Amino acid sequence: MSELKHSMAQATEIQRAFQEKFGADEELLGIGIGLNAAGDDLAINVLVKKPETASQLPTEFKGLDVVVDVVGANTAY
Amino acid sequence: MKFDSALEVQARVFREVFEFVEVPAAAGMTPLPGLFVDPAATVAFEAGGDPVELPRKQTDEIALGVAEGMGEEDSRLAVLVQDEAVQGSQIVERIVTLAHGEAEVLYIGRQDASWTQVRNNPIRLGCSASPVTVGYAGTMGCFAKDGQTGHVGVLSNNHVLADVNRVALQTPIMQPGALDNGNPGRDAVAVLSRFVPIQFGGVPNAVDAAFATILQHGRQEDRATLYDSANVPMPAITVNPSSVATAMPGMTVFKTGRTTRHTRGRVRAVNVNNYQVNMGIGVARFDNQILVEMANTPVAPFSRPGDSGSLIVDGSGQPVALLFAGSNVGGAGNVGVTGCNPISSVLTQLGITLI
Repeated sequence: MSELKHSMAQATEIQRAFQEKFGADEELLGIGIGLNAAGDDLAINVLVKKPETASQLPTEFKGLDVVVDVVGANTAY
Repeated sequence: MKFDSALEVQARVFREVFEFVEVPAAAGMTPLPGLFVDPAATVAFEAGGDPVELPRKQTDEIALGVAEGMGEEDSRLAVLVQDEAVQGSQIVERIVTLAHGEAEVLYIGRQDASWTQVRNNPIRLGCSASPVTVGYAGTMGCFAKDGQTGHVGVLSNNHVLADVNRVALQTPIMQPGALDNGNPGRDAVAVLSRFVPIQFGGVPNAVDAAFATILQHGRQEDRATLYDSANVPMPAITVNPSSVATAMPGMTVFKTGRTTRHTRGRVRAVNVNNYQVNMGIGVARFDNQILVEMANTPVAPFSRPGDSGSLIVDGSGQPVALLFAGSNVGGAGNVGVTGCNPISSVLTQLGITLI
């Protein structure tokens, strides 16, 4: 993880700001910290119900990529 | 013959050869070919007692379906036989006669249940379990020690061992679980000792976890091995419970569970907040969770319903997380992402240590 551009602490701060801005949206089913597509930096990972929600979110937020997973629903397994 | 005709032949075979009776179909089931059951099984079920093992008959070795016929939109009866000795029997001949020869007889061999879904001896990590009072089955994750009493028990989810806050403490836990034909008398291995209540209404939960104290069960226990998916399971990973690993994005992890057995995954995200999970009786919010996506070749999901309660470990066997939720889509292969509690939170909240 040492070669990543952001530290986990920095990413957590950015995640907090993202949650403050978008967290109330009921279409969002989870907001975490993952990797970007290139695997060279951390990213905001967002779970959403529908593809339409994904298109309404930014692709980048305060220097971190926003990676969206359309999951439909999370259920207890 | 036409598809509907094949279904009608199937119904006739069930009535005349199997001597089954037709009962009202359950909700969601199609009206044809109807639901046919052995009347002896119906009597045992309605008596409300323990499941009764009926003497095996030749018809128990035969399943019926509808196969493609010779021409377009043509169908024929499929006769699927598990026992080679039954393949050429008079019963199969009679079925083929009732179908006027429009039947395909296939020997499919013995269809064994996964080792995770049967009675295990030794009791292995990742096998089926449930309270005796429910109808489902989840996964027995691993063994642990109660920090208060020193008693040994098993770790799984609240929604597996306590049915989302609804099972009374001291209720027996059986292996296998109810959905896998667990017998409340013969298969009880533990009693529910503690669970972390799941809260609803937007309150953040940290874990979906419960602990059940082991009873005198008369079976061996393998407390240290995660087994593979083979029908005769072989050791895959030795669990190292002395310390726990912290999940990081990209980390490779493994689990063995009741439904998908031994699978490989990759941590998709950590510190997942506002993770919304349908618990069956409402949606609950979980914070500081871990998401895992599949890393199997060929593509296969990391988990599916029934895997809840599985212990997730890293490549060296260090515990990482407790599996509890998931989706059908999203993540690598678009086969779903799995939600997990950090194992450190689970141990703290339940007051247990892994052994």
